[in-house]
Amino acid sequence: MGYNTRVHNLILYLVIGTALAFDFTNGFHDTANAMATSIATGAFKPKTAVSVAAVLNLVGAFLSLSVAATIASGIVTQDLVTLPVIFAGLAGAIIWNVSTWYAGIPSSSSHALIGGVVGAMLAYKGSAAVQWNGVFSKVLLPAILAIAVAGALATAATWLAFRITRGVDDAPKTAGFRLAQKGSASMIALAHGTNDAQKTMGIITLALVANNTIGATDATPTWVIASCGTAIALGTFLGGWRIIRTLGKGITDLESPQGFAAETSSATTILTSSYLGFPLSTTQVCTGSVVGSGVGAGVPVRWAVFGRMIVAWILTFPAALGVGALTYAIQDAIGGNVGVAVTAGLLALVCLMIYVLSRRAPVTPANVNDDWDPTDELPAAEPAAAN
Amino acid sequence: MSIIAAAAATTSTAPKPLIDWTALGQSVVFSLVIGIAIVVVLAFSIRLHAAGQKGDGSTKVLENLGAWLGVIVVVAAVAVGIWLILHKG
Repeated sequence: MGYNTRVHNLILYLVIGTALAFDFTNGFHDTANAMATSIATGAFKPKTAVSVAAVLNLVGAFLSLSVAATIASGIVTQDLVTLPVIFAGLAGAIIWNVSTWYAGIPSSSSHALIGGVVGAMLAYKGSAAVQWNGVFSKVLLPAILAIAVAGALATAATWLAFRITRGVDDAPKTAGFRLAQKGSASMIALAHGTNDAQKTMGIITLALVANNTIGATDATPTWVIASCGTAIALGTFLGGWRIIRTLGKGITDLESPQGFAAETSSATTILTSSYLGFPLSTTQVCTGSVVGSGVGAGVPVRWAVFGRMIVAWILTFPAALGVGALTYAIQDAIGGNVGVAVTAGLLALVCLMIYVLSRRAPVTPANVNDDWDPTDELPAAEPAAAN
Repeated sequence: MSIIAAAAATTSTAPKPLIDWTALGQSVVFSLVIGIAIVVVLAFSIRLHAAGQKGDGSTKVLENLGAWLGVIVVVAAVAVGIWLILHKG
C-alpha cells in the first residue's frame, strides 16, 4: 500500500469515526424527544425508557434503507463537497450538539450538520458555493412550521383529552394514558432511528464511494448499517439526561393525558411530514408539542425556558457554521492530512472538556425527575412567574 | 470523485421545487386530523373503560366493547405509523 493510499485512508477513517461520533451525539441528544414526557409522567422508569428507545433506534436503523445519500443537498454546490469539508461540517455539528447537551437545550442535529457543512464550504470556496434559499427552505421554514403545527395540535389534543375524560377517576385515567404513552413514545423512537441513523449511513456510504472503496451503485454495506444503528442506540441508551430533564420538567408540569397528547402530536407530525416529503426537525416538533400540551391543559408554561430554546435554535445554524468554518480553516492552514488529524484531536479535546464540566452537576436517572426550577438558572428570568 | 458527485451517481436527480407547498399543506392537515382523532378515540376509550368498571349488565358489556374498540383503533394507528416509516417520502 503506497503512501498516498494510506493518507487517503486516514482521512476516510477519520470521517467514518467522526460520523459515528456525530451519530452517537445525535442519539444521546435526541433521547429526550421520544422519552422525556414518558419519564416525566411516570409512564416509563428512566432506565427502562432509554433502553426501549435504544432498541427501537437500532431496529429503526435496519427498518428502512432509503439512505439519505446527499449531504446538505440544495444548500451547497454539490460538486465541490469533499471529505475534509464533510469532516469540518461534522465537527461543527458535534461541538454544537455537545454544547447544547451541556446547557440542557434540545436543538436540531440536522440543522447543526447543515450549518457545519455550510461553514466548511464557506471557508473552502466562499459564499458563491452556498445556496442560501435552500437554507431558508430546509432550516428556517421547517423550524417555524414545526413549532406552529405541533404546538397547535398538542394544544387542541390536550384540551380534548382532559375535556373527554373529565369526571373519570384519576387512577384509571392515569393508567390508561400512561399505557398509551408507551406506544406513542416508542413510535417516536422508531421514527428517529429510521431518520437519523440513515443520515450518518449516507455520510459514510458516500465517503466510501468517494474513496473508491465501494462502487457508486453498490448497496450500503451491512457493517455501515450495523455500526450506525449501534452508535445511535448507544448514545440513546446513555441518555441525554440534561435535555430529558429540560423537556420533561423544565417547560411545563406534565400529567399523563398531556404526555400522550404531546407524544401523539409529535409522532403524527413527524411521520406524516416525513412521508409526504417535507421532513421536520424531531426536536423542534417534540418541543412544540410539550409547550402545546401545557397551553392545552391550562397549566403554566415557563416561557423563559422556551425562549432560551428559541434562541438556541436561532443560533444553531450560525454557531455550527462558525465551528465548521474554523475547523476547515485550521485544517487547511496546517495542511491537508495532518490538518484533518490535528482538528480531530482538537475536536476530541473540546468534547472531553465539556464532558468534564458536566460532571460538576451531573443529571442522572436518579435525579432526572427531581423537583427543579430551570428559571433559577436563567440570569434574566421572570422570578418564578410561571410557577 | 467528490463526495456529492458520488451521491449524484447513487440518487435520482429529478428536480424538486424549493418548497413543495402541496406536501406542506397535506402534512399540516393530516397531522392535525390524525393526531386529534387518535387522542379523542383513546380518551373516549378510557372514559368508557372507567364507566364499564362501575356499570352492570349490558351497559357494562357495551362500555367495555367501546373501550376495546378504542384500543384497537389506537393499535391500528401504530401499525399505520410503522407503514409510514417504511414508505416515507
